[in-house]
Amino acid sequence: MTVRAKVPAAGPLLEVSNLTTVFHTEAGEARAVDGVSFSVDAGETLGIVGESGCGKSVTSLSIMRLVPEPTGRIVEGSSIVFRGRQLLSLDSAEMRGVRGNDIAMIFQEPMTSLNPVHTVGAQIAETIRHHRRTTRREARDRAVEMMRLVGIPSPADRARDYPHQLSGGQRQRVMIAIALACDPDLLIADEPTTALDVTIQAQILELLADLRQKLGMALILITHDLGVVAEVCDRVAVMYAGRIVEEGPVSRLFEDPRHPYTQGLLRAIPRVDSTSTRLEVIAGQVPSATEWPAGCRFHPRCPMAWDRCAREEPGLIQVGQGRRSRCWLEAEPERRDHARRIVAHDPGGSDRGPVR
Amino acid sequence: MNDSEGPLVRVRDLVRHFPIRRGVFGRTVGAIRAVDGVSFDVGRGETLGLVGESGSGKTTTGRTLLRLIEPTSGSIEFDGIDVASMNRAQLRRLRRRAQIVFQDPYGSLNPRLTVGDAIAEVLDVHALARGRRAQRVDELLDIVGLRPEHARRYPHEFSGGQRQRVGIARALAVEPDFIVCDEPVSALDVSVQAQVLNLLRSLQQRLGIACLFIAHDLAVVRHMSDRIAVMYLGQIVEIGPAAAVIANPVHPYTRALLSAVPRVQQGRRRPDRIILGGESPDPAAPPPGCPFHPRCSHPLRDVECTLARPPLEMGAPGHAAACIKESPRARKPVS
Repeated sequence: MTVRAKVPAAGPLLEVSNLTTVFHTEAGEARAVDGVSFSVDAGETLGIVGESGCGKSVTSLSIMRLVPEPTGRIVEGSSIVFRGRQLLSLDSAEMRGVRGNDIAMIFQEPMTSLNPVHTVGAQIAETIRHHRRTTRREARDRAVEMMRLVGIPSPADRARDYPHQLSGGQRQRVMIAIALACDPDLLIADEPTTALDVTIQAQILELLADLRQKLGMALILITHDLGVVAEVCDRVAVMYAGRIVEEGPVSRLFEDPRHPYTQGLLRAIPRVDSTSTRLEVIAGQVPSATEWPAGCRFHPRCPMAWDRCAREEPGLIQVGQGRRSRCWLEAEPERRDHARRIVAHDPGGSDRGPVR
Repeated sequence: MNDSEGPLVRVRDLVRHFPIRRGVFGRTVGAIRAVDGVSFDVGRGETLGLVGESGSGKTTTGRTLLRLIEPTSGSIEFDGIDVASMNRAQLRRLRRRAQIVFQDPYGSLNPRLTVGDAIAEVLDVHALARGRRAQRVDELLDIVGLRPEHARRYPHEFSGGQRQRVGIARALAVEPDFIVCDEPVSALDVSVQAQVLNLLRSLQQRLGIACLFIAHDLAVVRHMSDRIAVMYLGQIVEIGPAAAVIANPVHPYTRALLSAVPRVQQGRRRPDRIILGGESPDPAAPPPGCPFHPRCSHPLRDVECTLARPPLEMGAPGHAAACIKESPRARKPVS
């Protein structure tokens, strides 16, 4: 909304179309990501939000081409174009060049991504030397500089520490330093603050927002936390059962959610300043990736569903500028009014979440 | 059941230190002061929310109340009886009245027992529902929103939310007066979390169970609790009616914690946002004086804060905070 990068806009930075990633499991083929399309402009922040099993993390692994093979596989017909280059047709050496230099990624648990037997300074320097032609000395200096950039106090001393000597928040800062060491144009952050305490989460989110502004990079933030999205992102894509179900600018989407799933999620979150004693719930459970429901994948849990929803799956229907919703209500808006009238007559009717 | 006056649970100056041992002989070189002088009451049928970040001592506090962890010092009274001095028979009786629900129901359920057997096990241990065990298991499953046929299934066949319902059914099997809920929904997805929170709330109200509800998520605690206690570094820094603590937080830490909660409805970059510097100190070497002073942004913070640990002082009725700069006796800050 506010910050736009200085990079001239010649099409989006990243364009994902029809991305489908499948896994072979004992229970059959799991279509974890199933025909997902979105784009990210230079300098923009896109949030991808959803519950566990919706495909948000597999989407990010697919962009990095880190889907574990041969159990997992990106299906033919998928396309991931970064700065005009089709990433899916790069060989592994070319892809290694993209990772770190062009697109970098940070994960939820920094402890498992850091090597316990090397100092953090050495690990940042290693990344730099892997991608850039520099002397050891230059790489080490740059590592300290990166640590200062991500707000680690007395970085020259901390660079000599091993990962276990740092707190969770400091380790995540180190991961961000490693990710940013080679000036990527796009940073993918997969639940970067989920393992952190809320006051430390606030520090890290502030840091990510500042760095993005300072460095003009684009950010894809993957999270289950709608509050985090609201604070950091320009645009948001809500995923459910391997598909994007709603997409749009953050402020408008949260003010006026269109898709019944988004509406349900927003109402299910307890709020600090709310005094109501009951939360509205979404009935039932997230379906399994090996057997997505026919028709609209949300229809078995949807309070608005009618027979069409069980038969045909809606596409992403344009609703106003830059907003899309995968729901037949957009094609038959009179049903929404009808549903509203019923709710008005029967307030709080269906809040005893049945268990399937 | 004893329906005497007074609170159901009464905790005074509770301390639990974990020794730090070094070397081959396990010499004690220091102590982690996990719980460092905590006092509170839980009324009959009341829910007290205990909120704090990792390392604040909230989990240790909850477990010490049930003597799953032995207290180092201080007193815990359950319905007027001293828990710390209970013998085994008395402890068994305590566990018929006080139960716990854990964060990870998968870790607390035996994978080789069907869910029905896991619930029946609790009934057997306490010699309850003799002769009508199966019927009672069905009743308990029904109370937590599961179906009778679920009794024959194993824990791995359930989703996280359903396993948490089983954990709740096991806790309810003894018809307790008091439940410690230790982060019961933090492993669950938002839509499922709402189901479990509603279930806990309605059960607790319907059955009149008192509850110590432990969580790191202020919004969840607010939703569940009548009163809230905020812990920092082993101490309660603020305690009061839930609505008052949220609407008028007194302690600078409570204010920062509230301000750090990401909120959907307020959008980006709230101007009044307090971002705390630094991190929670090491509980093996807590700072002198107020435990929060190294991170505190109170405009009147000064050397006085480093001298003595501030006492919990009552401002509004039932609402107390441990901050000398917000003490009702101190001069009001000039704004």
